[in-house]
Amino acid sequence: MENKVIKTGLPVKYVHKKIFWTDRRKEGFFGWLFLLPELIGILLLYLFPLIFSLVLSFSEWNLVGGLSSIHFAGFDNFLKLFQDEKVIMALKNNFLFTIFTVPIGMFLAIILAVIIHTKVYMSSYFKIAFFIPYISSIIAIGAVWSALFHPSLGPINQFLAGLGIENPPMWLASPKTSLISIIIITIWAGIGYQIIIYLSSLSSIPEELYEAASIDGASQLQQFFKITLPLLGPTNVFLFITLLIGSFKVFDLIAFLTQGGPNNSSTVIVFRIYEEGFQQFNMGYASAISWLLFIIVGIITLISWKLQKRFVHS
Amino acid sequence: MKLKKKATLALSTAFLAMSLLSACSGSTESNSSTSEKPKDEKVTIKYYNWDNEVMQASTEKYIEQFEKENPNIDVEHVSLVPGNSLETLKKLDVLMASGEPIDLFATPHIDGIYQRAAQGVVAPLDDLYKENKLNPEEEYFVNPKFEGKYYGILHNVSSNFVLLNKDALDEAGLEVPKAGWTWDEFSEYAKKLTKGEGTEKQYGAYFHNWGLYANPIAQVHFQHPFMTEDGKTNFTDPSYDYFFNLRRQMEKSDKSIKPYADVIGAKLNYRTEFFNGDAAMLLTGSWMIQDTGNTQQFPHEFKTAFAPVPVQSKGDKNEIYMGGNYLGIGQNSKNKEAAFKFARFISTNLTEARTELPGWKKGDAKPLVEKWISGKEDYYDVDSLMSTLFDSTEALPASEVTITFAAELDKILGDGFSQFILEDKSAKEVQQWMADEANKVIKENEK
Repeated sequence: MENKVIKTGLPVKYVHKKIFWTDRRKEGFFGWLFLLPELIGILLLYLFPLIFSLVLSFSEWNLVGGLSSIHFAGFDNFLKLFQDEKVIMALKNNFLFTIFTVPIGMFLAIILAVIIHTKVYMSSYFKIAFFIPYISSIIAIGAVWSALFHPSLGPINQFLAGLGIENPPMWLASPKTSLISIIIITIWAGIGYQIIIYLSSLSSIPEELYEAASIDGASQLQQFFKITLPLLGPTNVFLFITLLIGSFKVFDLIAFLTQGGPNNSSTVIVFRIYEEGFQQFNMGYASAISWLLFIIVGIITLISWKLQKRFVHS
Repeated sequence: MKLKKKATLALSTAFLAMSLLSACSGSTESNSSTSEKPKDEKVTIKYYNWDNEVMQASTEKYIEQFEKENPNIDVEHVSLVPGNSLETLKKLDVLMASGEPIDLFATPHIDGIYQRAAQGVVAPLDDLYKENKLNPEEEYFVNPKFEGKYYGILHNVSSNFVLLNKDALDEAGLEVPKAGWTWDEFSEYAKKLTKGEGTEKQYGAYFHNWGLYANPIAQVHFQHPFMTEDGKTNFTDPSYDYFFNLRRQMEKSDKSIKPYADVIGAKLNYRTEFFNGDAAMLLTGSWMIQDTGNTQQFPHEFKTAFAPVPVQSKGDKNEIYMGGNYLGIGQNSKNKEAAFKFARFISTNLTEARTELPGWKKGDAKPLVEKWISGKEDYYDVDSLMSTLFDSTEALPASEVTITFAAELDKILGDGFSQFILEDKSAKEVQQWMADEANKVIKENEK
């Protein structure tokens, strides 16, 4: 078999003749061949939906009617977008959600991480204790918190009432506090992950730096600001970007706990997309909102890339 | 050459994979022709709904009986999302959009039929009725008509009534209310039935977070729950002002119902609220007749009495809106006759397979109800149950208005009520907001 192939293969003496399968082409061909599965995956699962949703955002389509019911609608969807109070509300809520969850979450995480890293006896216990919410099912977390937040019989409000507060907040059931409640749960559920990331980069900071600093008489606080914080730079940027983008994709807790309510007070962009697309089947409009989200996340990512260069000390 | 061989092999594999993948999407072209099958050939129809375990048993009995009578029709039953009708509709729509032939499906409400009829995915039934020499108006309580054609078959009918804890009534010295009682009397009852404090408190009544409970006057006693007969929103109706304020009074000053914040904040379950004795009265519907005797699932010891839904003012007619589950035949089904046959079979079936009231006018449902409660009479106040179901209420004529956006209007009602009760806005202000929102939706759908 092998001999046969060599015989009928490319005879070495005809090298000067132009052959199709040059080494370069061979390599290229196999390169592409190995890439093919992934490429098909990307084409089918990412690129096609991306382009299709762009087309849809300029059209009107009711999902139930099948492909034949797609009608071109021009810029109607985008014009409607900026007059739709619910979308504006969702955008506002989303920005509030981001502004609160990302910095507060990171701030708490860095403090807790430093404390666990340096000061605490049995630190592995605390690492696990903080990490458990992160690996728990978000639905289980939601169920527990909705019991804690029960407006009249929940432990939180019973405690507040015990302190003598007459009208404790209604938490998830009130338009005023529903978003704040979701923010609290989100920070609580995500902080374990951030602490673990911080802990791992804290332990990579060489001990000698602190020794040298304390010999020079630097206080603990100075050490934190002059050594710890700058050396955590790359971690900060990494967490900031991932949390920022993640905060624009928040959906599960809201879908489970409030359905965007009461009265749309806790609705966010992704939940609006879900409502429009899969509850009212306005696929065209839902695609337009998706593209708005895509553009927002894109801009944020670009900005943070620029900032990354400035803030990371390497 | 070796290389070439491998290359062609790889290429052809890739090509095969591609063609396979595209074949999946290639089947979207729906085959809408209903080819006549020879009589003796066996056909299989697929029936989609949201059966949970209890309902599944009933459906299985239906199918068993049907296949015995029609040996050449096989019924394959698919419960898309057990126990969840709304999620089932979503899945059903995805199936329809992908071109899967749907023979028969159930929807939990009339709007489910309208929404899909407007999209052209449900088959009109006029010809099938004609072929079988049937007049739908004589057969079913409600016949959904869209643009002049009949679309859905009313399988189970549901009507609303009030459940009352008879033991609590006796204790408070109250009689079982009769047809024609008003909402004012209802709130008086609730006040008298309220007792205790804290976790032990028995509230007079329970209102859930559905649109039904925001204004049952419109939802139960109007021809269309959301629209007037000339196609406008009914959110401007004075009954909203009246009922919203009644809810506020009962919640804030009488303290005879659980606060709305608790209802949504703690995701309360209305069945549990009533059967645990937390609330002595519950506005609900015929789907809870059997729950009352089901002490295994809902353990309780008291007797339950039944009363028609209160009216707004004395002397108002007690005609009520009939809701229910509808059966629709898919436009792309290849076995429409068989599907129709099965739909007729189950909708007119009054044997022990049936667990809900039939939408079929001609059958007598009384023996059915008697069968359901037999042996469990300790838990039912039989007289009030029978008179509530069969004597004191009549069906409203079906509305001429058909809309495909009832779900959106329902959400507006829910949001409006939340504003009223949670943000302490005035009913007038909220009504104006709801009407504006509803007009936007109506205008949007007129295009």
